Amino acid sequence: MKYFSNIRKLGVGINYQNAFIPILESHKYLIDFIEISPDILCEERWNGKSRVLELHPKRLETALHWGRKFPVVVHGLGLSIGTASGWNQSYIDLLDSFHRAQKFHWHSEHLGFLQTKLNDGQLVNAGVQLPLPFTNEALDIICPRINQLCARYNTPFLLENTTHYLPGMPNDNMDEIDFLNQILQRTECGLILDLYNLYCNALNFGFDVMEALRRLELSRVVEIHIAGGVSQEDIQMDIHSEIVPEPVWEMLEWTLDNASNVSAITYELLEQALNIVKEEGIAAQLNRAQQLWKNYIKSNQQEVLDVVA
Amino acid sequence: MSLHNLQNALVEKILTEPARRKFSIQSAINDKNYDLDDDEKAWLDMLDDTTGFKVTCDIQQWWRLARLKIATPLTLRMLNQLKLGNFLEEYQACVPCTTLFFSAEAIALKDFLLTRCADEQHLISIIEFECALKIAHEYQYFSSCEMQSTEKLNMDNLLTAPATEFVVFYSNPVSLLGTLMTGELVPEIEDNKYTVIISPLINGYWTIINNDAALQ
Repeated sequence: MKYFSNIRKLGVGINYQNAFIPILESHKYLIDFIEISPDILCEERWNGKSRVLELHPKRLETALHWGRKFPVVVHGLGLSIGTASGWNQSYIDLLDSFHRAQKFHWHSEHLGFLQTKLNDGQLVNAGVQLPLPFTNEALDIICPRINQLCARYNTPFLLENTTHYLPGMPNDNMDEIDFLNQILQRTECGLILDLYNLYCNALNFGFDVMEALRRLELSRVVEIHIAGGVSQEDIQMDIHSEIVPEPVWEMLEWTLDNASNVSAITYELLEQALNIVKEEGIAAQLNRAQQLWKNYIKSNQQEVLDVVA
Repeated sequence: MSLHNLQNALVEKILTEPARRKFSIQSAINDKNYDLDDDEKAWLDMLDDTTGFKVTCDIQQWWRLARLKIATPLTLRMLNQLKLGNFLEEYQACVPCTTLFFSAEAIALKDFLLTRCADEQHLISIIEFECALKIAHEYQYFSSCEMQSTEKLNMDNLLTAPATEFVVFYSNPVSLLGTLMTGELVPEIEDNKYTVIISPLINGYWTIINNDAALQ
């Protein structure tokens, strides 16, 4: 785990979307890096034998253009790392292609699964990220895969905690935080701590989010995600359509005070929500995150000085 | 009993939920040979009564509809104008989701409409037209082939060009597409048929051709 303290501190960033390109230009002083999902740069094509993901030349060209202006981290959507019958190999092929074109500081994926192969051989997609049960069986499936991903690109791999809405999965023998800590113990990966996701789970399943944060292995948090959303039928939705709610800002402040290896804070917004949050709203979120980031860096530097003295 | 079986049962439950809602049928997951233990079966049964499961299914449906709105806007307008929205609901209920991508979702809708409402000639023309446009557009981007104005096009070249499709319209395509833009009543089916060629070689991707295959 030696490298977590050596990862470059990137600062505050935003997820890369076509619709946000004007913001990259107009608010570049607030944006230190961009988080690119290769999935949005590709199309799914039938090659005669199977479906393959192929980078769309124009979309790639535009992303590479912005990759020359900002440091890049990769955030995958479609790996389906937790599928028991095997992850989505076409996503790995896509990431290989993207890696040949664009170097990145780290790459990451969501903890969960999207697709599965039914008993009749049909590959189906749930269309929504689904949770894994917090069991040893699930750990045994995903931990070797995580270590493969850590070794594949000579760059750190991070796993993100996710939101889900399905109560009490069967045979759980630990809770979400213990499960995440077990993954971190058994593998080389770092963590994207998505504070909004944890906030949603805490509201939806009724646990104390600060107690959960205190139990998490915070030294492995490399990136923090912040976002906002809406609630429907009393369920807090992970939909990235709003500004960051106040409790999530409070969680961010607390986490920055207690996690020493954070290298980045990303404000995530759905492309379609630009009309809701608007450019000024995005700038306000980035600005507030920048203030917290500056305090974090200052206090980290002070700690180093104290140690040297 | 195994994560694989549980995942399959859960995904199948989510994918069949729209049909269960639409046709008021009982979930049949536990009747299938998934080799689940009692706790797993009880959990899957219990999900039916939870808001969390409903929301999970809703999210999947929203995203799917969002993909169709982007990939097949003309077809969705046509379904609306012909008051055939129930076919869209039926598609979502009966055709399992297999992709998160626009083109694949559009083609799945086309296959469904061709099977389910082949008699709706305007509708079939429009979904075939939209899918062909999408394929031509993608091919153009991936291969960067050179586009040409219709005056310069050679039909022999077009006939053998990749990603080229012919679609038959049962009224003037320009008028039909116009009604979809304005929301006016769609024109009557004509005796006369109009053949449209869609190709990545054509500037603007499509043009009407005569039945003798001369470019208009």
